[in-house]
Amino acid sequence: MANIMVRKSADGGLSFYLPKRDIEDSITSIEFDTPEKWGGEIRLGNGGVYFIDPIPAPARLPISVRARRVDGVE
Amino acid sequence: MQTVEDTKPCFPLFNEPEYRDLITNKREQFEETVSKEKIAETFAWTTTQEYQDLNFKREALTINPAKVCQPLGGALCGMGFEKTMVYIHGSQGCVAYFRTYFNRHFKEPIAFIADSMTEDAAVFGGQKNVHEGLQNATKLYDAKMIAVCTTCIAEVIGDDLGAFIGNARKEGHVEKDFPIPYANTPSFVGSHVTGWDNMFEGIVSYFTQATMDGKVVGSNKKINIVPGFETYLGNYRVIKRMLKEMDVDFTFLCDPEEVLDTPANGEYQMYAGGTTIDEVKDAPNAYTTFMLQPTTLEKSKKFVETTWNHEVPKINIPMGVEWTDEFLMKVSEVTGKPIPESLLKERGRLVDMMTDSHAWLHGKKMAMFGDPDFLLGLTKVMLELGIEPTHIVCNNSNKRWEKAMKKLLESSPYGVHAKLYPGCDLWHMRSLCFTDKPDFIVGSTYGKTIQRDTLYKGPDFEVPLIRLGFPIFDRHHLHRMTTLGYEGGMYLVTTLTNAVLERLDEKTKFMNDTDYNYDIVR
Amino acid sequence: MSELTREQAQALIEEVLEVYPEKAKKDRAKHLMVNDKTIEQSKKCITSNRKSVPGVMTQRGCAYAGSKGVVWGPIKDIIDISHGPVGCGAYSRGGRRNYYAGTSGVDSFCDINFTSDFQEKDIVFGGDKKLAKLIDELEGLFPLSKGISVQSECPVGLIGDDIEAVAKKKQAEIGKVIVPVRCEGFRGVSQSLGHHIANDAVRDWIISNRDDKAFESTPYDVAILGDYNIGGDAWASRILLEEMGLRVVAQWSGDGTLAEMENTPKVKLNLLHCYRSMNYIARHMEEKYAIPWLEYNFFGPTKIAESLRDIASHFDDKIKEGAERVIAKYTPAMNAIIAKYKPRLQGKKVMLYVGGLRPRHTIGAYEDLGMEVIGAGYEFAHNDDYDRTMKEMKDATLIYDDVTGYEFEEFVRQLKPDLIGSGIKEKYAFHKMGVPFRQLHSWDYSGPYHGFDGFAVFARDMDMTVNNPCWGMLKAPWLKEEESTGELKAA
Repeated sequence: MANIMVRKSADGGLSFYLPKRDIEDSITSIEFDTPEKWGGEIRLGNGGVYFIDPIPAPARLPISVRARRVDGVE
Repeated sequence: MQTVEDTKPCFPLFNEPEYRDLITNKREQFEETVSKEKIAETFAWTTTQEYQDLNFKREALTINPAKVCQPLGGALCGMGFEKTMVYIHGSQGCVAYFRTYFNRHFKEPIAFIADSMTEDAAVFGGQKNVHEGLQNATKLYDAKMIAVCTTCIAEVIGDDLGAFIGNARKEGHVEKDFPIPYANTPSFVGSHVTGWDNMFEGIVSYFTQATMDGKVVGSNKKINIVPGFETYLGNYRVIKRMLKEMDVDFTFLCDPEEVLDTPANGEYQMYAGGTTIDEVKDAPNAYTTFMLQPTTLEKSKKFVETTWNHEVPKINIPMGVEWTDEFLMKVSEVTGKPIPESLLKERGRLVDMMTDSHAWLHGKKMAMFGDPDFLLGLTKVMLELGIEPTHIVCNNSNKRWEKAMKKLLESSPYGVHAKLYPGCDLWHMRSLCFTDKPDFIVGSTYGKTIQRDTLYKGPDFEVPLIRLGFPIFDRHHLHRMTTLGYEGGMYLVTTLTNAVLERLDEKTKFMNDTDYNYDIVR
Repeated sequence: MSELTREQAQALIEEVLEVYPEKAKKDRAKHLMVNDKTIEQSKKCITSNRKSVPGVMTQRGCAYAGSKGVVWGPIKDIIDISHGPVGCGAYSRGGRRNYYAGTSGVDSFCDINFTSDFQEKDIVFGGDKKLAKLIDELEGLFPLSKGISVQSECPVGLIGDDIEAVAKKKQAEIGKVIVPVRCEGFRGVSQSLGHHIANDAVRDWIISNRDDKAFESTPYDVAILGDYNIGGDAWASRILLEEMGLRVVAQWSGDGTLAEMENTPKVKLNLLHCYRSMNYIARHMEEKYAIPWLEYNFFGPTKIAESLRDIASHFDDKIKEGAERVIAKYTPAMNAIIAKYKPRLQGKKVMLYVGGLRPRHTIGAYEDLGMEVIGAGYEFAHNDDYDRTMKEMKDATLIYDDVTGYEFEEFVRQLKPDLIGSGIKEKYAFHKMGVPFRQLHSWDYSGPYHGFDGFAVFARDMDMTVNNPCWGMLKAPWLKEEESTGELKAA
C-alpha cells in the first residue's frame, strides 16, 4: 500500500501521482466514477494497475488516498 | 530595464530604482521584518564587548568555521601520487563537495570518485560498494594506484575498510597486487590537515611497512620532503628549485603540483606528475625526511621515525628569512651539500625587499586565521618585519601548535600584543575585530564577511582582508603563488606591503580633502 | 559537426559504454538514450532516479545538498544548522549564490555557516544535548531570527538521535519555529530526495501555521515556488509578475522569509519554476488549500511570453491585459538583444548537463539566440522530468541521466559542441579541451538569467564565452604548422 494522489490534469482527465517514487502518469480508466462510489481499479498510461478502496466521490480533487499496486511497472 | 548597449549583470542591475523599489516593497509588505531601528540597534549590539562575552561563552555552536573535514585533506594527499585515483568510501555527496571545493580554489578539474553508499549500505555495511566500486574504478580510470579514504557514514557504521579491500582481492573484483592504500579519515576527528596526515601515513605504510628488509638509511643519498596539506603550487616548486640549486637529490613525497596545473592544450589529462610508487618504496633509503608542516604531521612523523628509522629534523615551516635559513642549513647538514651562492643572493634579495618595505609594515596590527603551521610561518614573517600580530585564530589547532606559537611570540617584542585563540572560529574573530580593531585581517576568502561587517559599522571600523591561505575562492590564480622559502618571503612582503599601500590610497584619494597624502611615490 | 542520425547516435552510446565492466555497462545503458519524439513516456527508453554506480565519477550530490543547499539555505530569516561534522556546512556555503537583501548576522543568515561541528564524543554519546544547547546559544546571539532548521548530516541518522524531540522541546521554550530535517546524505540516490524531505518538513512544520489567522488577500495573489534567486533570478521574475498586476506574496525560497512561506496557503495560484525541487509542496497546497499550480518558464523571450500569457489565463482581463502590456514593453529591447547576438551565435550547438529544470527550461532561450541544444541530461531527474524534456528536444539528440565524467567527455569529443552548460566539477576539464563552457548552476558568477532582464545577461554571457578569442590559442603556432605540413605530406 502506498499513498497516491489523484488530480485533475490540464486536459480534463485524471492523473496519478505516487509521491514516494515521484511517478506521475495519466489515469486511462477508473472502475467506479459515480457520486456514491468512486475508485476501484485504476489503470495508468504506463500500463500500471492500482486499486483504491471505493469511497463516495471526493468533493474536489486532488485527493490523497491509499492504493495497492495490482500489476504492471512501478 | 536592460538595453543592448548597456546590459547590466546582478550588480549594478539590482541597484536600479525599479529593483530597489521592488526589494523595499517586498520587505515592507511581505517579510514582516522588524523595524530599521531595531536592526540598527541589534547590529550595534553585536559589535560590543557584551556581545563578545556572550559569543565567547559558546560551547556547542560553531559559526563560520575556519577548517573543514578530514577526507578533503586525504583526497589532496592522494592526488600527489603518480596516476592515482582518489576513491572515497562513503556518501557520494561528500565527494561532490570535495571536488567542488578544490575546483573553486584551484580553478582546475578534480577527479575523485565515490562508491556512493546509500541507505541500504548504511544498514548492511559498505562492502558491496567497495567491491563494485573498486572493480569499476580499476577498469575505467587507467590508474596505477587507488587511494581510498572514508567519509563519516563509513566511520560511524564501523566499516572495516582493510578487510573489504582484502576481500575484493580475494573475490577477484580487483587484481591481487593492484596497489590500494587506504586510510580512515573520520570527519568528526581533527580537520582536513589531520586527513592529509592519515592518508599520507596510509600510503607510505602500505608501500614500505612490509618491505623494510634491506632498507638502509642514507643509501639512496636523497632527502624526502613531506609537504603536508599544501595548496600553494609555488611552494612545491620553490622547494624543488632550492634543492636543485643545492644539488641535493630529493623525493617529494606527495607532489600534486602538475596535476593541479595542467595546460589548456586541447586534451584533458586526468593525471599528471606525482610521486611514483617506486619513489615511495625507495623513500626509507633516504638520509631523512623533512616534514614541512611539523605540527600537523604527527602520525606520519611517527611512522617515518619508527619504521624508516629516520631522525626527522626538528624544523619549523620554512617561511620567512630565519626559518628558511634553518631549513637550508639543516638540509646542508644532512646531505653535506653547501648552500650555494644563488640562494645566498636570493636571501639577500628578500632581505633587501624587507629593508625597502619595512617602514610601511612596522607596527601594523594584523589579525590572522588559518591552518596551524601556516599561521606559525605567517607570524614568523610578521615578526621579522616588525608587524604586530594581534588575534590569532586557529580553528584546527592542537597543543603542539599552541606551545610552538607561544614560544615564537615570546621570542620577539613585536609578539607581545598577540593573543592565541585555539579552537575558535570566525564569529569569534568577528567580535575581536570590533572590540580590538586590527589594521588588517589575514586569511582565506572567509574573512571577507568580517571586512563587510566591520565596514557596516562605519568606514573607520573597516578591517580589510589580505587573502593568504586556503581556500581563496574570490580571487583568481593566487594558489599559484609561493609562501615558502625566500621566494615565498618575497611574495608575502609584496602582498602585505601593497595591501597597506592600496588601503592608504583608498583613504587618501579624495580631492581637496585627504589627497595631500595621495602620493605618487611611496 | 553535422547532425547525427538516430543510428549514429545510438552507435555513439554503445561505443562509449564499451569500456565498462558488464554489470556497470548494463546499468549505464539504461540511462542513455537517443531522443525519439514519437515516444510519449520517457520511462520506455530511459531510467532515472536510481543509485549511481559505485566507482564511476558521478556528479551527483546528496540529500543534505538538496535540503540545506537548495531548499532551506536561501530562506533568509531562518538559521540553518548543519548538524553533524564540520565539512558539509563549509562545502555548501555560498556556492549557489542565492541572493538576499538584509543585514547579515542580524536579520538575515544565508551567508553564515552554523554547525554543531561533531566530535567523536558526539558520535559516541549522541548529539541531542549539544543541539539543545546550541539552539540556546543561537537564540542568545541572534535574537531577530524567525526560526531555526536542523539540517541532518549523515551521522545523525545513524547514531539514533531524536532531533524531532529536541526541536519540539526547544520550540516550546523559545517560541520560534524549529524544524528538524532528516536529510542525511545517505538517504535516497541524489539531491532529489533532499528536496522532497525538505518540502515535507515545510509541510509538517510551517505551511499550516497560519491556517486560523486572517490575511488581507487580493484576487491577484500568487507565490513563486522553486526560484532560488541565483544571481537575483527571482527578483528579475517578480518584477514582471508585479508589472502585469499580480501581487507576489511569497518567494520560495530565494530571498524568502518565514512569513512569506506561512502566508502562501492564502494565494490564488502557485507559480512553479523548478518543478523538481518544489512540486511536492505545490501538490500539497493544491490538495489541502485548493490552490492550483502552474509550471512556467522564464528563460528567453519566447518562453517568457508564453508563460506570462499562461499565468494570465488564470486571472481576469485586467491581468491578461497586463501580460500583453509587459510583453509589449520589453519586446523592443529583446528584439535588439537578439539582433545583436543571434548573428554571432546562430547555428552554434550546445550540450547541457545540469540539475532541476535547466536542461529543458533553457532550451528555448538558446533557440531564441539561434542556438541548438544537441544533448541534455540531468544529475537527479525523475522520469516526469524526462517526459517534459523529450518534448523540448529535437529528434535524435542525446539524453543522458546521471552521466559520468567519462561518458560526458566522450560525448563531447564526438559531438564537438560549441558550448557546454554544466557545473563546476565539469567545467575545467572542458576548458583544457578547449570547449567554451558556462556554469549553469551558479550562472558562472553572473546572472540573473530569469525574466527579460535576465535574458539580456544570458545572451551577453553566452556570446562572450562562445566567441572569446582565448579558445583559438590552445595550439601553439609551431604545432599548427607541423600539423598542416603533415596533412600536406599525407595528401
